[in-house]
Amino acid sequence: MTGNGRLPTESEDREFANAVSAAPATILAGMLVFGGVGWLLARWLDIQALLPIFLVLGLVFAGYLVYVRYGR
Amino acid sequence: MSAPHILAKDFEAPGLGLFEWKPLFHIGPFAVAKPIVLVLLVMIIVIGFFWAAFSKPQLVPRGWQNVGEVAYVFVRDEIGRPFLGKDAESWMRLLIPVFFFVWIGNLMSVVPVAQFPVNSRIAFPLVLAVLIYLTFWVVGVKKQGFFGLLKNATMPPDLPWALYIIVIPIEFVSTFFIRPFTHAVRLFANMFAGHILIALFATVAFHFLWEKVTPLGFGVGVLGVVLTIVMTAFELFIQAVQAYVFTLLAAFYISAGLYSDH
Repeated sequence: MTGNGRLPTESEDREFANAVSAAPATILAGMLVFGGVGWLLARWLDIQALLPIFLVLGLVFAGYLVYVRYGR
Repeated sequence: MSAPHILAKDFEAPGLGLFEWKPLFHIGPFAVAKPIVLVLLVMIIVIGFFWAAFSKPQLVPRGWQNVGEVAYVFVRDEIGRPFLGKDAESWMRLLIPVFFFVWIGNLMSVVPVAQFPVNSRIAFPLVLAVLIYLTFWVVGVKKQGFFGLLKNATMPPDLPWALYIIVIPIEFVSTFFIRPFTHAVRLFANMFAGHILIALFATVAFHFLWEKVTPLGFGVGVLGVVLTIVMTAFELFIQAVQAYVFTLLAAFYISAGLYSDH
C-alpha cells in the first residue's frame, strides 16, 4: 500500500465503474435528498404536490450532476 | 374461461419459497440450512483450489499452479491494476477471495443437487459489501484524513460554487450511505432474478410434459425445456459478469479511499 496521492490511471475501466456504480448511486441520492426536502416542505406548507415536484427536481439535478462529472 | 386459463389452471409458479430453506440441523443455538452449507462448500473449494495451486510454487508452473496463475493474472490485470495501479499486488489477497467466493457462489446455481446461487440470499453479498465499505473508510482516513476523505468524496472539482450547496448533500448520501447498499443489491438482485427465471421455466417444462400432459400444453412444455437450457447458459454468463463487476467495484471503492479524485 504505497498510495502516492494520485489516481493510477484514467481508463475505460474507471468510466465503466462510474457508469455502473457512481451514476445510479448519485441519482438515488439526488432523489433521496430532494425528496426529503420536498417532504419536509410539503408538511410545513401543507402543499402535497411539493413532494413529487421535488422528487422529479432531484432526478433531473442528479442526472445533470452525473452528466457534468462523468459524461463529458 | 379462455384457453390459456384452462391450460394453466393447475400450474403454480415458483416464488419466494425457492429462497426459504428449512434448517437441516442445529449447532447449539444456530440453525444450519442449505445456503450455509453451500457457503462453507464454496469456501472449502476456493481455499482448496488456491492451496493446491500455490502451496508449493514452482518456477515453471505445472498442473493446478497453471490454472491458479491464469486466475490470479486475470484478476490482477483486469480488476486490480486499472484501479489500484502499482498497489494492485498488495490488494490481491482481498480481491482474489472476493472474486472467487462470489463467482463460485453464483456458480452453485447450476451445479446439480446444490442448485442454489448463494448470493441470492442478500446476507452474503451484504457482508462482502460492508467489508469493502469498512476497508474504504479505513484506508481513506489513513491516506486522506477524516476531513480530507469527506472533502474529496463530496466536493467534485470544477463546479461553480453555488452548485456545491446542492451537490455536497447528494454526494455525501451517495458515497457514504447508498454505495454499500447498491453494491450488495446489484449482485443479490441479479442472482435472485436469474434463479427465479430458471426455476420458472423448469417448472413449466415439468408441469406440462410430466405432471399434466395435454395436447395443447405439449408445445408450452417444450418451450419450457428450451428456455430452461437457454436461460441456464445465459445465467452462466451473468454469474461471471456479476462476480467481475462486484470485484471491480470493490477495487474502485478501495481506490476512492486510497487516492483523492484528480
